[in-house]
Amino acid sequence: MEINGTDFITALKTIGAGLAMIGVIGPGIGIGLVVQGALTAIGRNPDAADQIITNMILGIAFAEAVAIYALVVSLIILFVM
Amino acid sequence: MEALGINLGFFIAQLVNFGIIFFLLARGVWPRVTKMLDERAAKIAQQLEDARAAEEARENAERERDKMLAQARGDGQKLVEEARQRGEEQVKQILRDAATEAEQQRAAARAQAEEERNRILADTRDQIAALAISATERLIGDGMDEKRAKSVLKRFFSEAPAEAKGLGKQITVISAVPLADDEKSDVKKLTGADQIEYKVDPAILGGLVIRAGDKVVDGSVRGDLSALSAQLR
Amino acid sequence: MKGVWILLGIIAVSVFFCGIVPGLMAGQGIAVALPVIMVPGEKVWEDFVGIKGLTITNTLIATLLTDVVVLLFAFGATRQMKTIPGRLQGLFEVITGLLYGLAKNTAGANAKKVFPLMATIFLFLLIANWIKLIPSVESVGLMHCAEDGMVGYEKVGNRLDVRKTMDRGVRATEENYNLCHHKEDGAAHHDPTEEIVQSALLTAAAQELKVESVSLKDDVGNGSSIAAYVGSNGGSVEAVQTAAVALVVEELNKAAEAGTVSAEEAATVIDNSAEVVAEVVTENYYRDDLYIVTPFLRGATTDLNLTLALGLLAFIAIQYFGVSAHGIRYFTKFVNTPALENAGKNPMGIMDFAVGLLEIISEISKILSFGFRLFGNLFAGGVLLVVMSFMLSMLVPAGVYALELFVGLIQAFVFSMLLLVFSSMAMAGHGHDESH
Repeated sequence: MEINGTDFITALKTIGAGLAMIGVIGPGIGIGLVVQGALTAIGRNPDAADQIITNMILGIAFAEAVAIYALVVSLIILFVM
Repeated sequence: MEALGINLGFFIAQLVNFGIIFFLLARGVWPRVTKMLDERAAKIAQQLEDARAAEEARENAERERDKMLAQARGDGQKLVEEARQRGEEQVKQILRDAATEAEQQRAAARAQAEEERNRILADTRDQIAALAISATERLIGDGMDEKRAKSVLKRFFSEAPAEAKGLGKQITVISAVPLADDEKSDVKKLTGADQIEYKVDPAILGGLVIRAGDKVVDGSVRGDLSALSAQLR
Repeated sequence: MKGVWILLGIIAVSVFFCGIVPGLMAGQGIAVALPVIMVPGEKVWEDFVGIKGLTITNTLIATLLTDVVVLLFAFGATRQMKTIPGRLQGLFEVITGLLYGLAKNTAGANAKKVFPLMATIFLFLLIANWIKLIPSVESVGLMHCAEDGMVGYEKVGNRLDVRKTMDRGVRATEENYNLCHHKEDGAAHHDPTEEIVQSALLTAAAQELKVESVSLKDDVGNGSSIAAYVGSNGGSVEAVQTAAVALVVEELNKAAEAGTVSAEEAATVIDNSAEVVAEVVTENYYRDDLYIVTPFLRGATTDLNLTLALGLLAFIAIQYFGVSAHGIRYFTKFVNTPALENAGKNPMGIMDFAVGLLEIISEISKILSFGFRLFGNLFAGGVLLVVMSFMLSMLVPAGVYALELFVGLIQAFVFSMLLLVFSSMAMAGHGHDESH
């Protein structure tokens, strides 16, 4: 099988998109920490659970935004470039 | 941008679309919903307050009621006890009456049945006499005057055995047919007893069986027959 | 106990529909075509109802459907408000009551201002995200010729012919599209030269592999080239090419004599026969039967236009709430002139000013953050679902499906929640800033 220039670029793009998704490791850990903290807090003070869950979801959303940026980068590499 | 599908036309279309939805809902739905939710929250708060007041009133009423209930329960207990006793007495009385009445009825019925049977047996006595006389006439080929025949019959049915003398003051006399009054007086004279109970048992065929306490004097035809049959054997 | 039965029922139903139905309809349901994965909304109708330039995409249709459902639900539930609600009103009040409670907790007295926008966005996004999950959305649509670069399949009746699981189809080229398009138009695009080249190649391959004949459809199969087929069966690709070139020259000469191909064209092709054959043998074999399906409906929130528009709206709303609460002084949060004026007394004021400028960037990035978060989650969810179905059409997609139900709810909630929190911060936080 012959590999021409287009194939080569496609291959590099695919690898690049995969590498870009490494960026979701951080948010993954971050979300885990957020939830851990929230659950500990709820365990200590179950009465404040509503408030804590609201803030937890906010925190998760911020951490997740980073993962979404990685996803967008890889989408751009795959479909736009 | 184009490759991500971001397109000014679509973008504006989406903005306008959502704007319309928001406008419609903000006009037609949310004011009513928030009003309803606020009203309901107020109403629930009010009702909670009411419920607390009602709870208090209820508790008071409950205490009152408990007191009254305890009193009423005491009174009621007494009444019930009384009624129960009276009822029990009545039941006992009714049962007693019923038993007496039933006993009386049963005794009357038994006496009646006895009388009936005795009457029938007395009737048969004459028939038996007639039959016996005619049979004897055939047998001995000679006429028999009525008087003699009667005495034979009388002997057959009501002759007390000689051993019956002096058995005691109280005796029971069993005969095959009911005894006539003169026969009864004969028996009385013979036995010398004061109180005599007469019984009828057609199974003894003839003669008399006299019982006094644990003594029995058997002058019955059946007794003679069974003695005869024992001898013949 | 009742819960256990419900769970068993759910499992039974999912086993039935995810396992037994595809099993009974083997060949129809067990293999799933790899769908076209593309970021822009796919065009369903171009020049809609004759208006030039009015293109309708499937995400736009889904948006309109969402509008209808939202309006019907909201107005239907609140048409006759009763103190003791019926089922529909009860459901609606559970949702809105929850949001209203949150708004009151977070924004306090300002809850009434934020609530309508927040609730509208939540309702709209929830319904949009769940409409996406209705079976046949994102799968039933218009069948048309595969365009350049898309993965196409042959068609059987009104569905794509996917013969085995994980059938990757054939990546269509420009040429395939044109051929297919001509065929669709009824004017049978009949290029004798192409046919000669193709049949010459197949004959050469059959000779090389010493079989009676080689069929493009059954032997070579979707997604692989003649070269790959010959190579994997132990034949020499070069030998096939050489034999094919000779055959092509021979056949073209015959055709030129018979008049089916013009003499000039035959001469041109004969001159370049080596390249033509080399190109066709590796990939392009003149197929006119590659189709793809463009679904009528695709999740409304998988379109960046919608999510970014909502992000922009949320951004504008936050600024509006800030200005309405603090007047023009609201913008001193970004351009911190009071801190600059007091720089003489408090040199750290310069730092505050710089931080304020940075706030502008973080504020504007909210648009992108809002838009791309929603888009990313929902688009990735959709891709996950179709790729899972492509790889394993039984049972596993049911689990992914449940996850997607949850994600749809959470994303709608997060969007409205963030809007609420940012708005209440914009309305409340400023007086505190000025005090130092």
